[in-house]
Amino acid sequence: MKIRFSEIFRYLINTFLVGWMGFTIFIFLWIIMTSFKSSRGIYMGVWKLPSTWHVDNYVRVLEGTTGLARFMANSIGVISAATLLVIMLSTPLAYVLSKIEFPGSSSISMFFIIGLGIPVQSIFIPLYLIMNRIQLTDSLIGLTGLYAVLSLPFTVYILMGFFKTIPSSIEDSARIDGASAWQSFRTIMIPLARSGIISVAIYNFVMLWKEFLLALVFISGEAKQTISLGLYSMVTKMTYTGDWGGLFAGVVLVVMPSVVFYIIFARQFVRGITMGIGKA
Amino acid sequence: MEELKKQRYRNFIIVATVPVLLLYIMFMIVPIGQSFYYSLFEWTGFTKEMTPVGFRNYTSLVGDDVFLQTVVNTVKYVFIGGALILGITSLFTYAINNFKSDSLKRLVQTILFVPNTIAPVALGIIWTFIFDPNWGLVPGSLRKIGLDALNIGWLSDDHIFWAALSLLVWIHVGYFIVIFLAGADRIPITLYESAELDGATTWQRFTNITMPLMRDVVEICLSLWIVFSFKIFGYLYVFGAAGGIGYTPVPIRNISIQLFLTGFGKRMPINKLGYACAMGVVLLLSVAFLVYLVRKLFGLIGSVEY
Repeated sequence: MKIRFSEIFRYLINTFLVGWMGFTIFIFLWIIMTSFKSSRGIYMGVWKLPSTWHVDNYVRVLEGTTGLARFMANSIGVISAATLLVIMLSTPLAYVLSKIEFPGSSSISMFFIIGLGIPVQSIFIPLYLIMNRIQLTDSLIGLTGLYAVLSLPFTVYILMGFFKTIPSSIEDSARIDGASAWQSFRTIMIPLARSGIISVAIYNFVMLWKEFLLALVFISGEAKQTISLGLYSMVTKMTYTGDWGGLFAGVVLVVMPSVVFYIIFARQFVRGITMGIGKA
Repeated sequence: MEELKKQRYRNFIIVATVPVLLLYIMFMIVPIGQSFYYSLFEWTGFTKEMTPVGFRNYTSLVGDDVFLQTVVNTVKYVFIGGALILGITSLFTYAINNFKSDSLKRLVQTILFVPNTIAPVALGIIWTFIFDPNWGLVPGSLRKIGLDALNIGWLSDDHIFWAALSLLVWIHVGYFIVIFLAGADRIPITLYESAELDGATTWQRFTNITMPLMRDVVEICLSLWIVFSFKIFGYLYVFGAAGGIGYTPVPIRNISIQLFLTGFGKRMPINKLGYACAMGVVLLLSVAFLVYLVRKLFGLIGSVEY
């Protein structure tokens, strides 16, 4: 009797799980389908297959000085630079904090970990005023810098966890052979930590592609918008453009790159999140 | 020679640490202090005029009905959302952990996580279509199966909270399942094997072995969810706006949204920067306090060695 109950229960949960995943996949296919409809077609039936496939939706939203192609280029530029910057800043720091003992190293580590809990929402107003003073508001360079600095705590934390899993013995023998800190960092640690560095870079890349709040606060020029911001402007203009087909083409253009990127690198991505948990 | 090497190490440590530390302090720590400082003024941010008002911004917050509503909403996200998300995540962990094939496990985990890789702006738009009274998926399906009575206007002020919450649950179950499964993976298989020999059912093994040994994972996830509930911005901001109203309706605003609208809202500029900074300070302190509380509570329960 008891076993029976347990089996029914498991069956129910599995059904629920399958339904949940089915919904997720359905949503994904639905936005792709809808992006090929005319606005009229969307009015006629949001959940029906398109009668004719309108590729022109994509052409329309991509082109022009304030088209999504421009915003995608903005996003890719900002995110690549920010990811590169944060990796360059975090990797040596994480290495030093996790591998070399020096006075204050553990308090500096703690100090960075605290940053994981600082919501950017509680500091964006002073940040705006600082950036305004150094004339980096409404600037893609300013946004790049902000993205890099605000990604620091997470990146340092994850990389520290990763460096700790690398046995010190390899490095110790190099040290005895007379290698300097820089030499052993560059020739031993970086190659060993490469997969961890790549994981955290990929994670940052996707998270910054999604970013919306900072872009909304710091970017006001129409041509400087990031992809998320560009899509949001389309929403706010919807009442007078009425271009629903275009909106969905925009949704797909925002969704696809990060989802495809994630699916290709799913394994590294998962490690990016769970590296901090590690073996307890 | 030895001295020279030490010197070189010191240089490396300084080069690796100091610049990053300065950036971090200047752009993340100093603004916290500034936030508190500005919260003591009445200030639009665009003029030089700053009127010191002491703690009046804070006392005004207590009498601000809209702000209080956003606090209640945030608490609802923390508790109701937290219970639903961690509950469903636990059930899914149970189910997925019983899969024999590792690649199936990975596939399921990959699919569940997908919403986390989608831009909040896009999800806000998509979710509006799911609940739209005229053409939404949920109202349409309910109509089809003869449950039109349940179409209570999901985007109306009375019910939009639940529509928004469903979005957050759908996204974050996929996030926490990744952490839960990583936590469950650490548990030595021998524990399960001996329980199986003793005739424990899969559910008993889950409740008596898996969950107790994952206390630290649950603690991390709960803390993360608290932080998320206060921080979540894009999903809610766009979900409300895309419904045609143009700004986020009060019933789904959390503190972050209210803060943004007070400081930088573009549609109805209020630009009360001092007041918004006071909200920021409340937000930061609430998060810190709740995360501390979770730590203490889980400390009381203690941890299990294995």
